[in-house]
This record gives sequence, C-alpha cells and structure tokens, in this order.
Amino acid sequence: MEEYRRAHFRISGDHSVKLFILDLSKFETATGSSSARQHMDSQSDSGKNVITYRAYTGEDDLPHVMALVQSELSEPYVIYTFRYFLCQWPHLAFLAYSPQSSSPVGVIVCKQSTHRNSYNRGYIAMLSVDKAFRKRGIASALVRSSIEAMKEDGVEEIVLETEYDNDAALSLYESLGFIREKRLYRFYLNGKDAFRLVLSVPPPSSPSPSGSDVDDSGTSFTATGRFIGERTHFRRTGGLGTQSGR
Amino acid sequence: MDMDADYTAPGGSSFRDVTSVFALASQEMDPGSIVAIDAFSLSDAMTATEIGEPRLDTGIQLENTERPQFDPLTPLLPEEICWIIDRSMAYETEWHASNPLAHTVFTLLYVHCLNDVDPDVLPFLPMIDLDSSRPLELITVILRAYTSGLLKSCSLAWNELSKGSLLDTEDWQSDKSDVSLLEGWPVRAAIARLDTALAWLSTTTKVPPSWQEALKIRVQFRRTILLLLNSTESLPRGPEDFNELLQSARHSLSVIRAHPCESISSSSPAHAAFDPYIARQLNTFLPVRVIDVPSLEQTCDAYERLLNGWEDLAKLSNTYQLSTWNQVGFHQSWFGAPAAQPAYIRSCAQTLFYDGIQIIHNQPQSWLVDRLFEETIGVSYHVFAQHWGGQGSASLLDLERKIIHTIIPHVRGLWNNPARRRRFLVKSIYDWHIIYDTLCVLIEGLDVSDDIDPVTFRTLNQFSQAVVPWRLASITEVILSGFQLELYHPLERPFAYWFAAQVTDVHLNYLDVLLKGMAGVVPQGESIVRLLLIWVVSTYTYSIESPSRKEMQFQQHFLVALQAMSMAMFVV
Repeated sequence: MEEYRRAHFRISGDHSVKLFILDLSKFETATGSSSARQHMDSQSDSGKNVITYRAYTGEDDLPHVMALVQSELSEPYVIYTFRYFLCQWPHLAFLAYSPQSSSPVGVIVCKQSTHRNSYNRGYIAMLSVDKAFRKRGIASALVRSSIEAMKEDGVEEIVLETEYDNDAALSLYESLGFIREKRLYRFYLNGKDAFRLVLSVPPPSSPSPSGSDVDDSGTSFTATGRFIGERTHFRRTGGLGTQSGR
Repeated sequence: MDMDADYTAPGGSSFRDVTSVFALASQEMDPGSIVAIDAFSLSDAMTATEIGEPRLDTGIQLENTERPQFDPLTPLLPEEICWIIDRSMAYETEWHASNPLAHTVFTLLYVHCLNDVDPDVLPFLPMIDLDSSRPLELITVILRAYTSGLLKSCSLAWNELSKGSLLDTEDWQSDKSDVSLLEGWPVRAAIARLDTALAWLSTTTKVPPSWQEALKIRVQFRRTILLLLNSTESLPRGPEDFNELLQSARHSLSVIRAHPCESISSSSPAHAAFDPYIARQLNTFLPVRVIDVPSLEQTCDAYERLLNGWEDLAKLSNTYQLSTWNQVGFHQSWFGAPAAQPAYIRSCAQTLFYDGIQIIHNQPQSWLVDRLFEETIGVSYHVFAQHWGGQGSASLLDLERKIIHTIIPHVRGLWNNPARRRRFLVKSIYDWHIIYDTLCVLIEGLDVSDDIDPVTFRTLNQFSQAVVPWRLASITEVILSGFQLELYHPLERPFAYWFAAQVTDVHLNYLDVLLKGMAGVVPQGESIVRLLLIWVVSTYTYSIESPSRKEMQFQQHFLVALQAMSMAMFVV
C-alpha cells in the first residue's frame, strides 16, 4: 500500500529516473477498447469454468471484498481503508465470479488521481484471488480491467507496490508490462523490502476527430482531458534516460 | 447496552451508550455513502484501528496468550540468568535491525520493573533468599545491572539515530512506547552498577566458578558496548582509548561465541521473563509482531558487524581525504547489499562526516571545495579562485555553496540504505552537472583583457573537468546498483551493461584529458620567473607521481576492467 507501510504513515517523496523503458507494444492489453465496466467472460471450453467479471456496485459488495482481501493478504486493513478506495473510485474496482462459488473469487481495488499536481497516476491498492481459483488468469484479467478503466480517464502511469519476494505477483505484473521502478527498503511492517512497479501508459496514438478542444481560458485539452504541454515531473535531464519509441 | 451490574469495564463506569445518537444522525444518509473530513486521505483511513482485530488492536487479550504470572524476584539459577542475558542481547540486535523496541528489548519484563528488584528497597531480601543455588543477588545485582546497562545502551543509540540522518520507521524504529530508557541517568552510574556486578561475581562463593566466568564475560561485554556507545561522539579526541575498547569487546564476544550457554528446560521460570506480546500493554499503535529470536551465532555476527562498523569509524575519524570517504562509502554499501550496515553505524558515519557545523569534526565547510579539486586534479582551489578575487569572494560564493551542498549530501548519502542511496545518487547527478555548468560559465566569463596565458586557461578548464568524473561515477553507480537491488528485467540487463560500458568510456576519456593536462598555473609576476616556474611545475607534475595522479591512474585501470566486463556481459 502506497504511503502507508511505515508505522508512522509517512509520505514517501522520493523520485527516481527510469533508465530503461521497455517497448510496451508487445504488452498491450488484449481487451480492446470496449469499456472495462462491461461484463467480460474468460474464454473457456465449459460453462462450468466461465469466470465473469463486473465492477463494484456498492455497499453490498463490500463485505465480500473485505473477506477476500483479509483472507489472502497479510497486511491488516480497516474498513475505512476499503471505503477510502471504493467510495471514491468504485469504477476501478472489479470482482470476479465463478459458478462454483457464491462469493466473488477475485477482487481488485484501485485509485486514480493527479500526482504532485503533474500527471494522472493510477494505483493498484489490492489484488486478491481465492487460493482455490488461482492459475486461471483471473488476476491478470482483473488487472487488465482496471488498466482499461483507468485509460478511459486518461491515466499516464500506473504504480503499485509488492513484496520483493512475491514472485507470483512480480511475474504477473511484469507480463503485463510493469517494470521495477525502485526498491523500498523495509517497506512492510514485517520488515520486508518492496518493489514499486510502474506501467507507463502512452497517450492515445490518434488525435480526436475534432482536434483539440479549447476551453474559454485558452487552455487546450486532448480528447482524454489532459493538458497539452511539457510534463514537469521527475524525469531529470541529468540521467541517461531513454524513452521507448511508439 | 446491557451490562452486568458487577461488570467493571476498563476505564471505569462513566461510559455512556451513544449508539442512538449515531443512528439518528445517519438516518439521512444513503446506504454506502460516507461522510469524511476535508481532504480525507489514505493516511487518515489507515490510521484507524479496529477494536477486536488481533492484527491491529494491540490491547486485545487473546485466549491463547495467557501467560504465567511474572514475579521479578523469582529465584533463578546462574544458567538461567545467562540465558536471559543472551536472549536480551539477541533482541537488542533485532532492534538495531530496525524492529520496534516494543517487539524486542521491551519484551524483557525486567525492563519494566527495575525498581522492584532494587535491593535498597527490599529490606526483607535476606528472609526470602533461601535457595543457595539461586541467590537473589543474581537478580538484584547481576540482572539489574545488566538490564540497566542494556537500557542505557539503547538510549545512547537512540540519541544518535534521532539526529535525523536516517529515516525513522525505515532504517530504525524510534517508538519508545512511553517506556524509560533511563535517558536522564548518567552513563557513569550505569558503568558503576556494572562494575558493582563484576565485583560481586569476582568475590562471591554463591555461584559456581564456571558460571561466574560466563556471567562476568557477559557483564563485561555489556559494559564495553556501553562505553563504546558513549565514546563514539568523542571518537576523534581519543582514538587510542576507543581502539582499546574495541579490542576488549571483540575478545568478550569471541569468548561468548566460543562458550555458548546451554539451553534451559521448558519448565524453567526464566521463560516468564520474556513476553513477546508485551506491546499489548504498552502505549503503542504498532500491530504486535512476534520477532523470531536469532541464535547466539547470529547475535554474535550482528554484534561483530557493529564492532566492524566502529572500527571503520575510528579510521574514518582521522581520514581527511574526500575521495577516501567516497570510496569507503561505496564499498560499505556494496558489501552485504541489499541489506545495509547497522543503522546506528550508518548514522554515526554521517554525523562524523558532517555534524551540522563542521566537516570531520574540525574542518570548515569550505575545506570541501579545496579538497575536491586538490584530490581530483592535484591543484589547489586557490589557483582557480585567485582570478575571481579569491576563495569566498562574491563571484565564487554561488559556486562554492553549490559544491558544499552537493558534496555533503553526496558523501553522507552513501551511508543510506541501498535503495534510498540509489535514488539519492540519481538526484545528485543533476547537482553535479549544475556545478560543472557554473564552472564553465565562470571560465567563459573571464575578460579577454586579463592576459591569461594558454597554460593557465588549460588549468582553469581542468577545474570544470574535475567535476565530471564525480558525476560519471555516480551514473555508473546508479546503473550497477540496479543489479544489486534486482531492479532490471532480464531483457533490460544487457542494455544496463551496455550503458555502464558507455558511461565508463566517457569517464576514461575524461581521465585521459585530465592526466594529459595536469600542468601548473603560476601567479602573476616577471615573465622570466613565470617561465621558470612553469617549467618547474610541469616537471613536478609529469615526473613525480602526485597522489591525485596515482588515483587517476588507478581509476583508469579499474574502469578499463569494468568496461571490458560490462561489454562482455552485454554481448553474452
């Protein structure tokens, strides 16, 4: 969890230069441009194994979300933490259902906001899949759903933290194009280090049909609502940075 | 709320049931809606504690945590005292490894009842001291002295760590949970109490000789550690005494390691001396985490790391070479990475280099500016500064301030934990470039009518070039530390090596330029005298191996090897 894993809840303000950014084209999500808020079915050869996904709808889902997260993750979260995310960004939370279970078998909880007044950053706060339903691509589908939902709101990068030795999570996210931005020393309460993973989301390649929309102040916007202009965040000119061409 | 008439809730009976107030107020809210304070943040949400959640509610009393009542005056055998001391040592090393006091040192229950074992307030002691194999002095004299020394040791370490060089909750845990570390108690008093314990052990007949020695060596070790902690700040004034203490500590540690105490039986009352869940009774909000107690071997290794760190500090305290500090900083961060040296040692190193006022305990900050150029290109900063009115002149104030404000955090930052050190180096790359740019602007701004000969101009240009190797070394370190911290995807690694090779190539080019161009600058004077001086200085520079030249040549060899290895890794 970002900004928490210190016992005194100190906000980390460190920056880093990403020296290498992989060409993400081969990691482009396969869900297409359809709204991630719609139902999606996993491909399956049997109706029994069809996993369905839907967005978080409200308070009725909250107990299931909490149960899934608290049973699978070691870090304790109070209900206010769940409400913080789910009340403000319900459209970024998704649940996975299986015909074999009356309760959700997977959940993802995210947020999206302007980071340091500069750019649109998404954050994956919690991802949990029932042990009995792992290795079925549910986690991957949930992450893709949330990425697509964030893209609809103009996300520029998505970050998360995970334990440095959580190989399953690292494999999952790296297969989706996330790279390790930084290592966080003794990030968790149990003293373990964490990796902060980041996925840089390129802007849409094609401009909107009507060109830039200009508001009354003269500021121009892209179709996704971002300001056009030079980004002023942490990429410093002093490092040997490279940008992937797209 | 129904309550039994005889039930007494914690906090008394003045609680009032206000459920109806909340129920009435929330009637107008829709299901799922939330009322939050302005700018309700994630930190606000996560600060809440759920009463009854075992992982969050530190005060909850779980059924399976029933423990036998602890009586500090329970008589114990000498081997049980030894066992308690060894376990407390292990917990101390765990605190130094950035675990909270409430989960480590404070689990020793004697910490919380030192007054209860004070023989001066136990006039009835002789009446209950009936077991000759379990003399109460083992508790009232030995264990009390040891525990006092332990707390005072933690207090001294806490004082150093709280200076802010390292990050609380990341490199160390400052929470004292309102438990006294005997902060106001003089170190001399703690030493005196330990000396009393040693004296009793030397003269008593109540303890078998073998256990006398075992207890003596442990009390002696505690005494030495306490003295080392107390002497670190004054290290520069008394390095000989400090080294003697180090030798004594190493000797004691080797004896403890070579003669471990036997484990005690599971029914021993000594087990009651530790409560891993003591945090539930203390004023702390940290969720309880039961720390695995390291073995004696691991504990000794941890203390050895502390002693090695102190030894390094002793040497550094008399080291007035910036480049040596730089190299030691890089070396200690790579040795044992991604783990870091004990936080206490790293904090001491940072304080030793710069305590907020002076550099290495007695040098002014301006000393750094001269050292930078003297050690890199073998020329005093004065040679450069004289063209702008001398060191400290108005024209050079900005440059000198930038150099000082870059070098101090650069060197101190090497003693951060590896992850934070890398992020800091990334930022410093930009700062080094700013210094380079400032130097170039100054040189370019020299008036052409100043009649500066080409040799002088070449030397002045070297000052700007002198900064570049520092920047390039930082870039290389950032790249290579990415491997250390496991940051690179397998597909990225070859290109990381390729980048490292490219940067090293540029670094080597700069070293070539600097080595070729090391010539002196002569002060203004008669033309014949100037020519003679130019000849003398040039002869000196090229024929006699100055330290900076030797260092550059060593860097060349090292970087050639590094470049070759990096390219090979890229190709493979």
